[in-house]
Amino acid sequence: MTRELDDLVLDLRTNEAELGTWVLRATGDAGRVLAYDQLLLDNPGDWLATEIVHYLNRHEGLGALAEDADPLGHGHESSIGRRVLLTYFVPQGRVAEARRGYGRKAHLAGQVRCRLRSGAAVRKDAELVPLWVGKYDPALIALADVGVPGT
Amino acid sequence: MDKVVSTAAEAVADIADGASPAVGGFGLCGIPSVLIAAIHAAGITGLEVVSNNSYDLGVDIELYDIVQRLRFEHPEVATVVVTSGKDKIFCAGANIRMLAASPARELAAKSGRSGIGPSVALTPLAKSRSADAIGYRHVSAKLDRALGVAEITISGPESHPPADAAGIRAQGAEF
Repeated sequence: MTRELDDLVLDLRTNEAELGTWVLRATGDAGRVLAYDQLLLDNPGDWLATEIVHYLNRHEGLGALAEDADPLGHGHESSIGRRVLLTYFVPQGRVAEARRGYGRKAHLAGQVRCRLRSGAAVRKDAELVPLWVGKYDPALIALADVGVPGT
Repeated sequence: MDKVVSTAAEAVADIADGASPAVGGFGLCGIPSVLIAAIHAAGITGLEVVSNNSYDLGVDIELYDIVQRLRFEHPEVATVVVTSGKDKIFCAGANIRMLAASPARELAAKSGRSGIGPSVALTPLAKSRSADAIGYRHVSAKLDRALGVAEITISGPESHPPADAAGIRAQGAEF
């Protein structure tokens, strides 16, 4: 997954400069993701597990970017260029606590991570969690917030 | 005026110590390596070089790929020594520890990577790409050019993880 995301980010950065907004979704069983993470964390003496953790940590940057960015709608200079990055997550098997210092927590924290947005908007999303379909899809709500036409 | 000269030494002949030459071009063609060698050979020093070159993305990608392959395909490698193609010259601003072979061996001896294996082959990614979509096994992207939006979806693992570290190695790049 991480190699694929790596390749995709490079592809989008170099070949798709006009796509100024990235929406990141995660789907699947969050419990399984945590089980994979735990396996890696349980084997600090294994060279391969260690290298995979280092590799995942590199992608922490993508998540940190979403957390540290200016309020939504204001592009920010970053390692991925001047783009607005929207990150949110589809919870299936809720993950209560994101793990610090670890790459995948940025991808699969199990709930809306909208530091880019106002507190009110996040609370609104929380109310909409059972209704994440159609016009309540948080990606569409977030895109409308950024001012992307047609949303 | 004909600016063509027959040798690099001739081209830099009028550059004095402390001069401020400007170089141009993007990527590798913006690095006048032959002229740099000629300046070095002539012993000219104290230069203030103005360059509008950017870093070269192709080199970046290749270097990243090499490092990844050393990490996963060559666990027996514990220290990587990066050197320049030119003696005593390295890129400005590089924050890389310069090592001679001897301390590199000392560092390698301290590394937890020494002599361990087996390696994991980084097999080519199964990727599909069309005008409006990019697809991999676990990651996909829908490219909406009208909106200027890339919608990226990351799929979680399809099965439970293996039981132990040996299982991670058995899965290799598929892990």
